[in-house]
Amino acid sequence: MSLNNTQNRAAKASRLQYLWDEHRIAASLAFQRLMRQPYQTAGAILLMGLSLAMLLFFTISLSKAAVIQNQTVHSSEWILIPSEEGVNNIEVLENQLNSYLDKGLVESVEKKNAQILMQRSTTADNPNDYYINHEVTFSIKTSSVLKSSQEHNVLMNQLQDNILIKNITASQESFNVLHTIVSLAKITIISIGVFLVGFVLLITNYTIKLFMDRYQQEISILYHLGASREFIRRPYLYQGVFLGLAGIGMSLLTTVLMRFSLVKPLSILKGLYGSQIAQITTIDYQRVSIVLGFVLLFSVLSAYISTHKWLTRFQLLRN
Amino acid sequence: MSVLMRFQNVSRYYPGKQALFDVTCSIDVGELVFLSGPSGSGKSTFLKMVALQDNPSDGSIIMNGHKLSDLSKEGQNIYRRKIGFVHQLPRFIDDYTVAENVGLPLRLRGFSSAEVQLRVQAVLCKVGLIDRAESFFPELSGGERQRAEIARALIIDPLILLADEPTGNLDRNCALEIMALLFELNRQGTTVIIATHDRYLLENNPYRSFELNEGRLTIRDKANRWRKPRVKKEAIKKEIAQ
Repeated sequence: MSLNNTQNRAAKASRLQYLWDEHRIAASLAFQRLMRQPYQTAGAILLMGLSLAMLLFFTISLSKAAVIQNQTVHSSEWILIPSEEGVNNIEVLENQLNSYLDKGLVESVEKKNAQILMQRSTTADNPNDYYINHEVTFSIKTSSVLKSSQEHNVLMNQLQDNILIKNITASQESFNVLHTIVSLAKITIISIGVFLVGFVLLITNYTIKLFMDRYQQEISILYHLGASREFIRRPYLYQGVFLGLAGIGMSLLTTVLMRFSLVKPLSILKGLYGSQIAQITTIDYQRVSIVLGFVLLFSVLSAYISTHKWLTRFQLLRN
Repeated sequence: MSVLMRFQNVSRYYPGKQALFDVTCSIDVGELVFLSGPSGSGKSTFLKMVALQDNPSDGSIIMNGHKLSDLSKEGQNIYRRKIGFVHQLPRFIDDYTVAENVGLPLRLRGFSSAEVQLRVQAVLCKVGLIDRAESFFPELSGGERQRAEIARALIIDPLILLADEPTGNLDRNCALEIMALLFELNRQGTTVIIATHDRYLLENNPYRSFELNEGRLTIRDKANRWRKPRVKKEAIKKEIAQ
C-alpha cells in the first residue's frame, strides 16, 4: 500500500515536472519566434494596443462621464442636549440609505459633511438648555442603476416621506435626460466594445495564422513523429498570450499617457465652468482589470481557434 | 520468428496514378528487408503506409496483430511515436539544436528534460555526433544530418526503423558508414526496412528484398536470409578505412 502511494506520488511529480518542462519550452519558443519577426510582431502589438486603448477609453471614461450626476439628500434637525437620539437619527438615516444601496436602488451613498451648530433653547421648559443642530448632507447616485423614470419617482417619494429628511435636491427632468444619455452611451459602448474586441481577435488570429504558415514544415515533422494536436498547438497559444499581454501593456500605457495629457486642460475647464468633467480622467482599475482580463482570455481563445482551423486544414491536405 | 507486420492485398490509388497494386507481404520481428525498384515504383508510398503517413485505398496493414486502420486518432499518434523514419533528405526543425531535435520523440512520450538529456547524449555517442549536439541543422554536413536523423529514430527504441533512400544524397564513404550503422542496429535486434535502388547494396547483402515495379511487388528471398553480415561488415570497414 505504502509502496503504491510512493509510486503514485512519484508518477504525479514526474508528470508535473514534464508539464512544467513542456510549458517552459513552448513559452520560450513562442517568445523567440515573436522576436524573430520583429516587424510583424510590433505591427500586431501596435494595432492591438491602440484598439484596446480606445476600448478602455470608451468603456470606462465615456460611461463615467455619463453617470456623473448625483442627487443630494439633506437631513437636518434640532436635538436637545444631552439627548443622544439626534446622533442616533443620523445613523438611522444612514442605515436606511444604505439599505437602498443593498437593494440596488442607488449606486452609492456618501456622507459628505456634518455640521454641528449650537443654539440656546427658546421653546423648552428650561431656558438654560442648549439645542444642537446636526446638518448632514448625503450624496446618493441613482442614474446608472434605475431603469426608468417611474423607478426614480418611487425612490424620490420614499425619500420625501422620510421624516428624517429635510430637503431633497433632485430633478426628474435632469434624471430623464441623464437616463437617455446613459442608455445611448451603453449601446454605443457595447457596439464599439464588440467591434474593438472583434478587431483584436482578428489581429491575433491573423498573426498566429501567418506564423503557422511559416512553420508548416515543423508542424509536418511533429505530426509524423506522433505529436498530438495539443503539443503542436502549445507554442502558438503562448504566442497568443504574449501578443495579448503586450497589447494590454501598450493600451494601459496609452491610456495613462492620455490621462496625464488631459488632466491640465480639463482642470482649466473645471476652473472656468465649475464642471465635473475632470472626473472622466480618473482610472477605475477594477473595471480596467475586468476588460483586459477578458481581452487576454479572448486572445488565447482566438489563438486556439486559429490553430484548430489551420491544423484541420493541414490534416485535410495530407489526406 | 514471429511476424511483426503484414500487408494484405494493399492498393493505393492517387488521381491518375496507381502507386501500389494488391501488395501482400510480411516482415518478421528483427528482420532487415530491402525495398527496391526504380523511382516512382511505390517504395516511398509503401514506407509512408507503414509509418501511417498515408492510408491504403484497399486492403489492410496489420502490425503486431492490430489493423492500423482500426486505430483511433490517439492510437495513431501513439503508433507514430513508435516508428523510426530516416528520409533521403533529413527533416529537422531549424529552430532546435541537434540535441533538441533528437530528443523531440522522447518529449512527445512524456519524458522530463533531464531524462531526455541523458538519453540524447547516449544516442548521439552511438551515432558519433556527440560533439555536434549544440549545433543547428544548417551547420551539419550531409552525412551528419543523416546520422542525426538516425539518432532521432533510434532514441525511441523503435518498433520498426524505416529508411527511405538513406544514402541517396551521400558520397560513397558516407553511404557505407550509414549502411554499416543500419546493419549494426539490425544486428542488435531492430527491425529495419531500407528503400534503395542501389544494385550493389542489394546484390552484396544477405537480406530479403521486396522489389516494386509500377506498384506490383515481387519478393526475392535469399537462402542465407538470417546469416549475420559479419563478412560484409568487415569488408565495409576495410573500404571505409581505405
